[in-house]
Amino acid sequence: MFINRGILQIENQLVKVTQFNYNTIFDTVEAYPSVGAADTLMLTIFNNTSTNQSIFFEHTNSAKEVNPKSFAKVAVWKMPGKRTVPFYSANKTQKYLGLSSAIIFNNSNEKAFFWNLREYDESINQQYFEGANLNFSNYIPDVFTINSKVHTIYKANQMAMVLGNVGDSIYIDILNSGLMFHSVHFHGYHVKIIESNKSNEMIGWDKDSFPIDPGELISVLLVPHQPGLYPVHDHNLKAVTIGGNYPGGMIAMLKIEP
Amino acid sequence: MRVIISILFILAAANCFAQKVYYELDMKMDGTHKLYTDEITNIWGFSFRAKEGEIPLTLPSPTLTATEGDTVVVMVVNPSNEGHTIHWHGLDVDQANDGVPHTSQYVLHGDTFTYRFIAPHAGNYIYHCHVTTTLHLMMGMYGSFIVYPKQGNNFLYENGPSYEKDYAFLGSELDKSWTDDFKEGGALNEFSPTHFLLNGLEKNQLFDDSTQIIQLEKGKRVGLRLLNIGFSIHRYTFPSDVTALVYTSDGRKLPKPFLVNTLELYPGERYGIILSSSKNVTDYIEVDYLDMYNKAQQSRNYIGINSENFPLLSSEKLFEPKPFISPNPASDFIRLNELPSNNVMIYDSKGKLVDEVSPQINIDVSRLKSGLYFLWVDGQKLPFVKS
Ligand SMILES: [Cu+2]
Ligand SMILES: [Cu+2]
Repeated sequence: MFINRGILQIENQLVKVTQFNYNTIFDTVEAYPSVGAADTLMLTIFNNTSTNQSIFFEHTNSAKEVNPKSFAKVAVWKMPGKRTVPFYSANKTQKYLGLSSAIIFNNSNEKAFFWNLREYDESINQQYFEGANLNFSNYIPDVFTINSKVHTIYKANQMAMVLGNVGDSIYIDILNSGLMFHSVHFHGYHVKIIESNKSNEMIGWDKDSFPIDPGELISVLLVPHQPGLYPVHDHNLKAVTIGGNYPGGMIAMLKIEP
Repeated sequence: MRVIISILFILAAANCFAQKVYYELDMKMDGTHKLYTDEITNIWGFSFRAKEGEIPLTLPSPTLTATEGDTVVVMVVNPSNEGHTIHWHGLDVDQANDGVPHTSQYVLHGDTFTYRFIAPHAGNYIYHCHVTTTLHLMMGMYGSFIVYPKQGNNFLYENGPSYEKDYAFLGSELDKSWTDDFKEGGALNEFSPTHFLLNGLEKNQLFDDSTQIIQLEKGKRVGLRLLNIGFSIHRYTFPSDVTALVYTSDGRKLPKPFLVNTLELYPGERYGIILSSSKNVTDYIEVDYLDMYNKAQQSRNYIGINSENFPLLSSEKLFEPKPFISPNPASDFIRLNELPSNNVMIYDSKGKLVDEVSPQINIDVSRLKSGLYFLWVDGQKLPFVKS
């Protein structure tokens, strides 16, 4: 896995970010390694940026240091009762710029999808790359992404498409990598909240709308009772825009066949 | 073959009990609404279709009700100049009736459409327009949809807890610069609310309308249905003499009912609660509106419990945002957003003083046992949880 710097082109906005990629050069596909439930992942992280990076892993509650143009190795195993191991930069700014993802432990016969929610105030990203100290006091994000892509009026976010059939057990692991609080609303279905990396009293509840706080990773189980094409979106409706226009941003789609 | 026959028989039997509820609604963009400041602003919404003449829009749109298992049929007519839809938030209807323009349909100017679905679970739901939702919803195109169990209108769900009377509060916000005169095109992410509503009402308006005041008799139970269709987190804080037991959320029974002192509703969430008290209470439920950037408080409303009057405090004091505390729950320190002028007191959930600290930003809570506490900061009571 590589830590890369680059520019996300999102509609008319250019957002400078740092992210985890599988590629040695920057690309827009974020890395979120998926591993068999019984496996241990041997992860090598290469730091292609000029900044020292400190990557925190929740399974060990500790950070790995990765110097510029250097690499570090980490063993990641499944925590009992947890599907996911979130990992992110221990530095708030680097995390905001995109260094936050998760490792998913899943049985290969189960359908699983991952949504990494993030929002950017593109002017703040610009300030960082110009060497300024970041000021979040007037934070008005205008780019709301899932897996570094957005939904637009012309095209659904292909990176946030859930495909399945009626009666399937579909796991969706949702990470809030941003600074804002979000509220996820499912059309067409209720989902069961099965786990969270925070203390969350909603475990075991059947919900169609639920909170996800900054840094939280919530896993839900969807067992569709009907076919259809349905959106799932942030119900803070500021976040279903791109560049201020609706529809856009934090919208995923469920495509459930009979 | 035998299987098919028995399925048909079951369907026929189920149909004998199922009722049909029928509504006709107009979709309109020509309403007005009086704010608590007595200013008039514009609203859009749904109104019942009159046989003759026209029923004016209200904020929110009228509450629709059904009984669990009912077939709900809603005919909408759109005489307005833009396309609209209805999304049945939480009712998990089929795709054709879901009200999303790109996956379902638009109801264009001059069109009618008939929505048809079954209300499968008792509980609290919302209906709202899903066209340019950030704008159309904010303009007022929403209302509550309550599904009662077959047992009757005084139960939260079938074989669930009963109550004497129920009250529903649908929270939302509006930005007066948008409702006064909004030029479409961009900047929808910059919505910045100026008015904070419960059932379309704010501050003193919630006391001018006696139906918004909860009548709770000693030893009796009241049903409370809370719904959030706003852009903010709505935090309800219950008075200490009132027991608030949460039974349902989003139209589903919870695995276990639980007691709350404060309850946060994020946008789109709903709860079903039973209130009771062993005393004769005259008090208020506080409803705080927190933004989704950092949970900073934007405003507060009060719901009276046997209280006919708006709280008797000077208005400046009342609407002053209270100090923001974080994190909550806390393990070591609680941070206030400003230096208090007086000593800070920490009370446990039973009202016993457990600590007093000199004015400072960081309050050490590391020695407290885990549980619910209240911080008294300059005369304001701030609940927090020690983890
Ligand atoms: Cu509309
Ligand atoms: Cu909705």
